[in-house]
Amino acid sequence: MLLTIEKVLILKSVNIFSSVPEAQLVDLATIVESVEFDAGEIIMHKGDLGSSMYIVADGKVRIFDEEQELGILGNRAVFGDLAALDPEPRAASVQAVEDCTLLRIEGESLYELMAGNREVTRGIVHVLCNYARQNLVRQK
Amino acid sequence: MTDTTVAVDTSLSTTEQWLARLGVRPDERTVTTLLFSNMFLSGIAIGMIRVCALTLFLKHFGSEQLALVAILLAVAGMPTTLLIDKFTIGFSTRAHVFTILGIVMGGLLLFRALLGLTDSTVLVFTLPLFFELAYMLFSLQFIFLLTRLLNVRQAKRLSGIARSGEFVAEMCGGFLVVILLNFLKLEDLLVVAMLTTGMVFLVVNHTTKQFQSTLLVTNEEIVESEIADSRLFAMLRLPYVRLIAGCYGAYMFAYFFLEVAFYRYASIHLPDERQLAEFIAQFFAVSGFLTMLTMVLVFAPFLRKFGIIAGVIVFPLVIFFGSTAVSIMEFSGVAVAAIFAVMVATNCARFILQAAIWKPSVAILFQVLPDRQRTAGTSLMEGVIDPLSGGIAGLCLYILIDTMGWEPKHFLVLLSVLMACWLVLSIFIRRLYLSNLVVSIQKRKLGELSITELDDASLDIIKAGLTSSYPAEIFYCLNLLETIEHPEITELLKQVLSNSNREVRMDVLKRIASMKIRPLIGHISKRIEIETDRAVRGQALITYAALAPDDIIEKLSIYLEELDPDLTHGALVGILTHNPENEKANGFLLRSVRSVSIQDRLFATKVMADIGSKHFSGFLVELLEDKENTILEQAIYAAGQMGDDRLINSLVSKLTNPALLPAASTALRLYGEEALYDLDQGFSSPEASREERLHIIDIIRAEGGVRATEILLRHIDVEQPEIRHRILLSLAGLHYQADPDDQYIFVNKLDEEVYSITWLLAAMEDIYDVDQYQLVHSALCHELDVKRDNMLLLISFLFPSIVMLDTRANIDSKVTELRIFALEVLDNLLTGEIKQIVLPLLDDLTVAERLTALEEKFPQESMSAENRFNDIVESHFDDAFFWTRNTLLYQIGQDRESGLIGKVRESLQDGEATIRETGLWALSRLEPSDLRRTLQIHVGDAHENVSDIVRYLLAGLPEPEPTQ
Repeated sequence: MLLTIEKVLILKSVNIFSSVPEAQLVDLATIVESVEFDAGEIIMHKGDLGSSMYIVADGKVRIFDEEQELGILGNRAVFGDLAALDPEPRAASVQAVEDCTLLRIEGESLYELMAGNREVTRGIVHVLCNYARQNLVRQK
Repeated sequence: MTDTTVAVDTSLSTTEQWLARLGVRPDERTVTTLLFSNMFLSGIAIGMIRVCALTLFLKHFGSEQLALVAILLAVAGMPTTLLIDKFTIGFSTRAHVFTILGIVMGGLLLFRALLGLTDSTVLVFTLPLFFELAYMLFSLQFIFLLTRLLNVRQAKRLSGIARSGEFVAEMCGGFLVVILLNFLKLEDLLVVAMLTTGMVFLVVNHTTKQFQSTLLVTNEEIVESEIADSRLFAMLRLPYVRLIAGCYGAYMFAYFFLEVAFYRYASIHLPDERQLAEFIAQFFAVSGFLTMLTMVLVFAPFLRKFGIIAGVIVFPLVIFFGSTAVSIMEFSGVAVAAIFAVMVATNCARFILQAAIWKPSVAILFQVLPDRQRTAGTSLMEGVIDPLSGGIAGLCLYILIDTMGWEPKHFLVLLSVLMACWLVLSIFIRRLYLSNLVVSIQKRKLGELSITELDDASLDIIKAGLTSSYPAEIFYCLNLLETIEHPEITELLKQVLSNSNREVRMDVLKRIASMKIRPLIGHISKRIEIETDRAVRGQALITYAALAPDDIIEKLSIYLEELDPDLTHGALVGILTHNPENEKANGFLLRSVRSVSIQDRLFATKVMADIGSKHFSGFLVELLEDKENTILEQAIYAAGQMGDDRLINSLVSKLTNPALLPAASTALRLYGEEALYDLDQGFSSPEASREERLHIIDIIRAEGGVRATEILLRHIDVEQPEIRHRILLSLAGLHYQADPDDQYIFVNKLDEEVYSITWLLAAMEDIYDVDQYQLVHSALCHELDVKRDNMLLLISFLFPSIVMLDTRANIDSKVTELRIFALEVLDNLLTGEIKQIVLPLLDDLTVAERLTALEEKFPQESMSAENRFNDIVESHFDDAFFWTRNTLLYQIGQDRESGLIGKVRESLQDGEATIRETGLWALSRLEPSDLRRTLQIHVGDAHENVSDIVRYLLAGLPEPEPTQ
């Protein structure tokens, strides 16, 4: 079981929250949910309506679309962040490669944090810009 | 000690220690050395040209003829500068400086060649003119490099040292001349000048390569240069520049008046050419040496102690006394030798002060202006004001001496008057220097549209905006028309009422209600009939009631029977706003308040919020105790709208619920001053959490005013450092200024804050390199940032608030210039005592340098990382930020530091849930014998996270052995 301080440290290592002072992340850490998955367990299915993001606290997860594997994510990786900001059907499925612990953050909590902390908003804008840039590169 | 000096690290070599004492930081050594070398070699060349030119000149002409030289300098100097500027547009820095030096080199070649071919007196007459031009050009290239390579703070520390090169050269060159004249002809000194100018080329070449990126000429600068001619003179429109130009002009008068008087006395006393040359050389050698000492040792500490004003007034002050003394002595018939001695001393002081204090101060005065104006300003002084005022001074001298037959004793009186005028101008310069600094750091504010003087064309555009397909545009135009109370507003609202967008219709109905436009009753009545959107129709009912027609009750009552909640809502609000006693409507509302349905209760709160009357606060009290957060949130909002003082206490109590905090804060803000008493009580309550207190402070601050300030001041010594910071922040936000009688309190607090920062710095330095303490280090770093901010906030209570808050906003700016200006504001406004402890913490120093700078007042000992960690826990834990306490407990647990178990046990009673949680975990790592018992005590902790962790820890403990 993760302590609040450990959750804060995990959150702090994620891009979106890296500029937020730890003391301010405590509020978020107290409401994030620590969820555990066994190896092979499906964390989310493609097409499910999602409104939460996940951070890999411990372990590895696999992202795939039907038969095609899109990537493996390890510690401190984030997925589902777009769905947290704007609920939408999941674009891919995610499966635990090994036993893993994830932190789940509901979109609503994220918005509350954004309302009171411009550093979080800045972090999120930064992540969104990165997505936009990646898309541009792909289009080229 | 302030940022103008550098803390001396004893591990440095002797040279490095000396440089550090002189204020040269390690990363500034190269630039200082190069600028110094440039000035040194230029100084040798200048010295050689001067001795050659003046000795030959005085052999053929009287010193008063130097006045003509000054006039000719004005004719030649200004066009030369402008031509160089024009010719070098778009040139790289190197090409620009090379062009200037190339002109000097060409001139030297030409004059040496001509002196070999002819002994024409015309040629000899033009030699001092060439000397003045060469001096100006050497100076121009140096300032060009200096202002690009150093910022204002660096210029204050380093320009004295860099410029001292010239006077080391004067000193060396003076003695060198005496030796050289044994082997060379006087004219050959120009060849020596050529050689040293060649060396300046090499130094400039190295400088431009070394600082290529800093000296890069941007396209913007090229464009600026292209309009340079007109811009130079346009600068004189700025009062600040006019004042500096006035002083600069007076300086040029002093320069020529004293030079003429000095050479007059010298040539009388030393009629022999060789003796005169040696005297001049030795005079400049001694003056050069003294100037160098002043530049290196006096300039920076002098400005640091007395500020820029000292740099502006010291020159006129000394010259005033010197020239007045010479005149008085002449008129009193004092011995000639004594007068000559005072004259030499005055000219020597002029020589030292102009180079060591006045000229570097002028460069600093311009560095507070924006980039473009800074470059234009320095060019204006060097290239226009310098030769122009020199010319005028020369013309005056010519008229005074040749036409009016004045002696030095006469025109020196005139000089004294001029110096007195300069002293008066200095007061205004200082004032404008500060205001320019402040303007430089002020936040750029968005311009606001002035709507009081809209012309007909603008009004037509605004009216046209009402037909826009974008609702936001319509709202904007309506806002403008409402603000200016446009006479056609009724007609315009009537038109917009039929807009196809429901949001627009809704907005217009609300505006009609709030403005109570009774002529539109008929239209509202019609809208009730024809409106298809139910919510808009409900609003139409409210608006209809707000206009108070006679048939409100009968027209609206029928809608109470409707099943549609929007219509019922509108009717209920309309009726009860008109008549709060209406029995039927009251009954309807009460049924909704007491309904078991959440929807009904929610409906009731919304109705009461829209009515916003104290009459219904009795109903609302019931809803403020509702178990549903959704209802509570809406009820809190309604309480804010009602403004009933009896509800304030209940609202303050809602701040304890994190889910209701935002709503309660908003509602309380609507109460204004009325809420302050209860907020104060809520803040003082021992049960109030950190979060709750922080919100209360925010609400108090939003209210503002004298009472709010008093409450905040009363709690300024609160124990929790996070809350203390928020109180300081709020007071600063309210632009609090301490009464003169109370200032000592804040000065003491500032001292405490700096002491605390110094301790934190020492602690952080001790654990910096140890991986295991990185978490603690990071927490302390955050504390340090906040305490540093506290320091600036406290300063804002003692000095002009808005200026200090702007300074605070810029002190960490990533734009170097803004940060530098912010530091400069502090340097100019703070008292010496405060500056001494504050600036080392703000300037770009290493931790070790900061500690050294403050060690006299706040000595700190160095410890091993382990000992320091123990020290932090023992001495800082109770005063630390809650996050720091968390990290300390976590570290104790990680390291299984049994010796610190006392603090861990204390933490279990902490008001912060996360501290209790980490404390319990740390205790489980220390495995005391009573662990199970202690955990069991906390299994029922009010905070879910804490009780969860306790259960988890208990589950991990081995089964207790059965008792025998």
